Amino acid sequence: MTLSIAFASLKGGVGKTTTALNCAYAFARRGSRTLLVDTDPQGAIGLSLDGVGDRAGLAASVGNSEAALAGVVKTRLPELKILPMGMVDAMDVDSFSQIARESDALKRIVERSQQEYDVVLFDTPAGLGGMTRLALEAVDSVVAVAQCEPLALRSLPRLLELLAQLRESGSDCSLLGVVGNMSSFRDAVVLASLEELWGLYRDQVFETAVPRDSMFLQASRAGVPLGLLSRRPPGVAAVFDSLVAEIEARLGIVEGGKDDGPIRLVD
Amino acid sequence: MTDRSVSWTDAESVARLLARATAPRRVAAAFARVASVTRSVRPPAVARPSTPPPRVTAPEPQLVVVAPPEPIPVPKLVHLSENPSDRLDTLMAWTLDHQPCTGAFVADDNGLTLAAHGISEAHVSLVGPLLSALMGVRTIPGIDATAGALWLGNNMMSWVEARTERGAFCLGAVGAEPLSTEALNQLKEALEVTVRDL
Repeated sequence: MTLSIAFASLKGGVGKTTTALNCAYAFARRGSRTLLVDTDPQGAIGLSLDGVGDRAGLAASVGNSEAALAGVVKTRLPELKILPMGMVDAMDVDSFSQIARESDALKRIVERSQQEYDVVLFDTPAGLGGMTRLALEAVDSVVAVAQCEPLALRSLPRLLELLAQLRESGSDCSLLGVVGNMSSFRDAVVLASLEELWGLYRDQVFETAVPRDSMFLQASRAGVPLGLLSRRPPGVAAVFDSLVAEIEARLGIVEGGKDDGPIRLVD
Repeated sequence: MTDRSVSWTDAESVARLLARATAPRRVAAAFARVASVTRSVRPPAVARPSTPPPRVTAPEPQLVVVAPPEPIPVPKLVHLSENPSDRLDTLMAWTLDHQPCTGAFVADDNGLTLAAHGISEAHVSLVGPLLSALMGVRTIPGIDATAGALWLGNNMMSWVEARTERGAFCLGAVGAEPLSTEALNQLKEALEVTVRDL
């Protein structure tokens, strides 16, 4: 069964796209056939990855459920593919969301991914309406991305309230966990926010917090995931391996299958 | 101002939200290991009058009446007595009054019945082995496994657990359907209030 996860936040700029992108890369590196779907009409994934922004993507096929995966782009990793947003004119964002809703575009993507992918990750735009809500209605699990700062923490209950209401109206989506982003132990407010996140949300908070690190800017400038920033990736790239391992554990993926087990270092 | 929290919210509000947004998955995860029942048992929020479910016997119209789409607020359990027996009786009455069940019981982690109404002793005797089996489930990270449901052949036994310094206590309810996550949370809260300081 294909797992579907949305990375969501009411507040913008908390690192949803960065988290979704690097988690997708980590999932693929760990062997899961992964599809990363950009649901942000602004095309956040396309803006983050060199060579993706000019692809047709979801925008070109949104009303055609038969062609839900037509815009999928292959990557350097065989296990990772991306469905970028493509170009949506700013004047057409509302009508795009409406067409996506009427055609059940995101649910069709999940349905048509069942054979080919183990995991489908949705990067969502900021806010809780439009494409974000569609994504939440299409997935099984939601990772709430919370920047370690006051406004993000204050907006987090709004996302939970929406999730609760969707569940109560028959949706299958459920909070998988909260990831603290842009953490730092050197800033008193950030540290207080992180502590409060842990205190309030307890075991829902992933042990792995994504630190504030200049390497993110470097990767953004280069238009690559952290793991491909250089032949020797920066240490912070490993954070997403850790986060994905936690996500897998919460989803019950604790082993690679019956043939998995210790591998001898020396033959 | 310096005492005000960063998030401007409180743990109780967050806990309530988390229970609504996350508990179903956690219960379902544990639940799947105990019984072959999936989330599809949750009642749909939107009624589908054109396709009535093919239930076996007559109570179907009553079910529609008893389970309206909008949840009825359940009053919190309040104890007026410190007497353990009175408190357990109050819990039994509250459970039977406010949850869709025909029987209920409270047992300790050895399966010893502390209070029961409308169920057989055999049901209560399941509690000890069930809680023992769940010890293994709890070793899986992220799995709480302190509530769930078990298909008994003719009906469902839903249960919640509360752990105290004196051991674990289990509140079970038997009915035609497994209890909802919201109901399980209500049961859990009621059980914790009841066994606190017993």
